[in-house]
Amino acid sequence: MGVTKDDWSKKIKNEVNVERDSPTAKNLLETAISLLRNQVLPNTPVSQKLNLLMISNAMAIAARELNESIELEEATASDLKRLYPDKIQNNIAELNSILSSDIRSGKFDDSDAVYSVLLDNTRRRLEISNPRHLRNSESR
Amino acid sequence: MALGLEKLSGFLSEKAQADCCRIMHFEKMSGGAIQENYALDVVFEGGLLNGSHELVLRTDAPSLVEVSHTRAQEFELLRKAYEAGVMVPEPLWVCLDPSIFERPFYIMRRVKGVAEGHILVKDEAIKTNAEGLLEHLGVQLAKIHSITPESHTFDFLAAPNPTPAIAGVEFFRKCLDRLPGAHPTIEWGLRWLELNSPENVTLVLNHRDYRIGNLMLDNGVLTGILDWEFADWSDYHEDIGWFCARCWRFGNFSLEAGGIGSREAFYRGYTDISGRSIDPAQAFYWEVFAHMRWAVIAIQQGERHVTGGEESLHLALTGRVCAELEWELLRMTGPKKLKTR
Repeated sequence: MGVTKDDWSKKIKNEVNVERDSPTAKNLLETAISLLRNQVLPNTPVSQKLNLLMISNAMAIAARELNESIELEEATASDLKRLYPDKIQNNIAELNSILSSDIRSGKFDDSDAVYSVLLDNTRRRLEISNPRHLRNSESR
Repeated sequence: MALGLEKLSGFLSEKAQADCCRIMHFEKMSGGAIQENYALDVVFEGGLLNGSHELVLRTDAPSLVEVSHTRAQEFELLRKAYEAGVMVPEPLWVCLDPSIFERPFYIMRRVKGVAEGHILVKDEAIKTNAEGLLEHLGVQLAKIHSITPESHTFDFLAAPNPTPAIAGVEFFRKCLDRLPGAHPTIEWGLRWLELNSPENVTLVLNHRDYRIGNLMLDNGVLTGILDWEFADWSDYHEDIGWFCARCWRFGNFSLEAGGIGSREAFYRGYTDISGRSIDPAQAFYWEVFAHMRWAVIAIQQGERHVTGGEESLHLALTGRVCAELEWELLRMTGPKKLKTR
């Protein structure tokens, strides 16, 4: 078995103590996005506007993921281990695979607990990929 | 490409029985992750089409999605739809000889207008007559659905077994099993689709990508129904669900028919011509199915970028659409909505 989620989490936390240059990667991306949207986009030919919007969207997703990916992985690991208390030695990928098979076989057809785990995980991923969609969706 | 165009002009000239064909303009059109379209302006001297014509050459992109039809098959579908009175660009000729343009292609007439969904849902000309347009789009869909297994045979289309919905679920599972990683939320949606699949099935030819974005509209008027590469036999509610699914409303979520107007207008146009009634429960089922199908395609598109050797920001971002589709799937399929067998 490879590095477990907990090992990886400790490794990241240790690395935080290493000296990092400022501003952070997230700050750099957000500043670059602001420049793109506010100054470059208005002066971009129509034929390239869609490309520029895709670039700024990709950078915005990456910035949010930099900020939230550790929390996402920790929350997912915690949810999955709650569903499978006898499989705490398995990593996230393995538990996701087991959960997928169990759902496919009908083991969780009436499970509010599984539905709730899936909803929470998808909400967290959507916070990264498209938070505006989440806001629109929850307000309807 | 000069040599290619000489051969192409020879092909066109022969098909139009013209003395000669001059290609005045030839340019790749935007869009099309699976197919490539080229705008083609030609002048025929003599023959069946003497004079100037605006045409489109449609061919495969270098990378194919396995579920889409070949150009020859798509041409056949387009021809049958045209004969059934469906508003499609008139298909003219198909060419399977790779020496003409390296890949098989077909030629159709070029229709005017815009087919970008995000632009069309804000279009003022559409807003002023959205209900009339939607009725017309319902009528057009009914005409497509007038093509049935009883009236037509296509060598490359087989009746889905055991039902279109279950065949779809099995196909999606096979797709997932070939992709890296696990997708528990997609599996949840597939299980719901399996348990809730409709028992009553009326097979008709479904376009299977009938939505704003594949309909060419000029000043609020339909000029052509495009992109027939996924057409297949299915229950008639599949196209209705695809058109009305929330994921194809381009942000205009309250306008349930394609993000441009009311579901009632679209349904009215459809039922008046087809004589079929629309079952709300079946329409809902196929809206869930639409989100699933789009989610599986989105995962596949993302993988084309990540592992398929096709570096593309457009494909990469399509992969990230999956989270919102999964979110919608979950909102439509809570555990209380599961039926037991």
